[in-house]
Amino acid sequence: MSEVIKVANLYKKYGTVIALQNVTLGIKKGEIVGICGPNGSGKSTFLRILTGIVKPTRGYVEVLGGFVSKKVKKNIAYVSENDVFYKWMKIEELLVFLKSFYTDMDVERAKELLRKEGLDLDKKVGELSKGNRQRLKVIMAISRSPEVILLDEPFSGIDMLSRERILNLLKEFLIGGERTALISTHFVEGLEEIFSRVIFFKEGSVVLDENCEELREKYGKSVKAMYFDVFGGLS
Amino acid sequence: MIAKLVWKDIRENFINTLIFTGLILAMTIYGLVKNFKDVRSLAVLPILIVAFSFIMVLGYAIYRGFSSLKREKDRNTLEFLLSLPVDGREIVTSKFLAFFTEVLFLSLCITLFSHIPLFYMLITKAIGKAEFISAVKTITYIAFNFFLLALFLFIVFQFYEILVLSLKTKNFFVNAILFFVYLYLLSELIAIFKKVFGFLPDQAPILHTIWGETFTIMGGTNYQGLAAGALAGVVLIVSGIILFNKRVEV
Repeated sequence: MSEVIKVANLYKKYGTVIALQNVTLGIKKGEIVGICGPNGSGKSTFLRILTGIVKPTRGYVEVLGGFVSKKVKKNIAYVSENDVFYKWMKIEELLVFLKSFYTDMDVERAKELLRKEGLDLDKKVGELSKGNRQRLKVIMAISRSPEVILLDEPFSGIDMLSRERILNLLKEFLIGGERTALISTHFVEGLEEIFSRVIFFKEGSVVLDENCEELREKYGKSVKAMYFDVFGGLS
Repeated sequence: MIAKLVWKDIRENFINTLIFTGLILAMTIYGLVKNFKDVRSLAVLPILIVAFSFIMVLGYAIYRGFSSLKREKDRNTLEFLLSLPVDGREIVTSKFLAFFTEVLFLSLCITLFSHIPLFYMLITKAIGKAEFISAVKTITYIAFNFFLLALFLFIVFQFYEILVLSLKTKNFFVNAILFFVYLYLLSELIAIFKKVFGFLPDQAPILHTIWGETFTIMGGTNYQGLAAGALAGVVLIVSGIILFNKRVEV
């Protein structure tokens, strides 16, 4: 299958801090990739470069056959770990706002998902709890039909119940589909079943890049066990 | 897409615009009530309304220029904006257009409200029709001057903000030095542009008022200065867009 994301010798420096160094990899169409690693390992920077939010210091980046342009961004859905939506906007306003940028936005599907998740369209984003804001971001992303979906720590700082609900939404959206997904997380549990490949980042470099099945065959270990092996801790 | 971004900015600052409008109206009504019996003294009121209101508007222009993008960065919404299928041209231009719309609305309100005392004077026959028309022209002319100045200030400070965001300097003193160097270089650039527009008349547009006074545009700025200011504004917006596209990130 063709590669939808190609990066070569990617390097990113913030002042004197090296966030990414010499990252070279390709992601094929339909792959669901887990980007794992501890805090500060470069996961978010990597996803942000693919979204065009952060500019690489040097290196080659190609997404959907071109550099990250306006046209390419239309086919990317990005879920940030931060509260990026305007807090003064009502959910319905946000939906209309996003629809004007993304022609693939299915407003009816979004409304249905919001209703199902108990999120009131008349509520302002700022009035939602952290878990609900996180779910809102995921719903807005999966109400579209992007070729590539990038999720940056979709489970950070939320309770178990919200985590489970977001996980179910993602599973429904991704499993059996043709979409390419990159999910950055340090909570591997529960996601293993949807990952087709895992990439471990450590201090800005890729330290492991394996197909999940091969990982199990080669090392006889789950992603979680491998994670602890690589980064230390309980195993 | 620019229209949607402009709408978003206007909607976000709607309350500020309303508060300003309310303040200006309150000032007008207070002035009218206070000088109700002394009709002649009402003649100064329109100028006072325009002057005080635009001092606020100019302050607001500086604040908005300084903070429109910084605020987005501080609230993480810059990340959202940058992830949308838009580029620096749309983001920077939309900020300017939103401010343009707001300040146009405010300028129209100020001009309109400052005419209330004049209408009262006309009705009470304190001034004649010719004097009234002359005064209306003058007030509109002064308001237009301030409107242009507010736009220019916004552009100047927005470019400085983009400069700081792209250089990622957080030290206050470094930023302060950068600010003064930037202002110096800008004044030099305007001086060069003035020479470029040397073929234009070396005099300020003059308008006579009902009080026999003369008003010149922006304190005597000549046509060359006006053209140089306009060109500098365009250069700052274009440079801001290029800098934003090349350097601004979260």
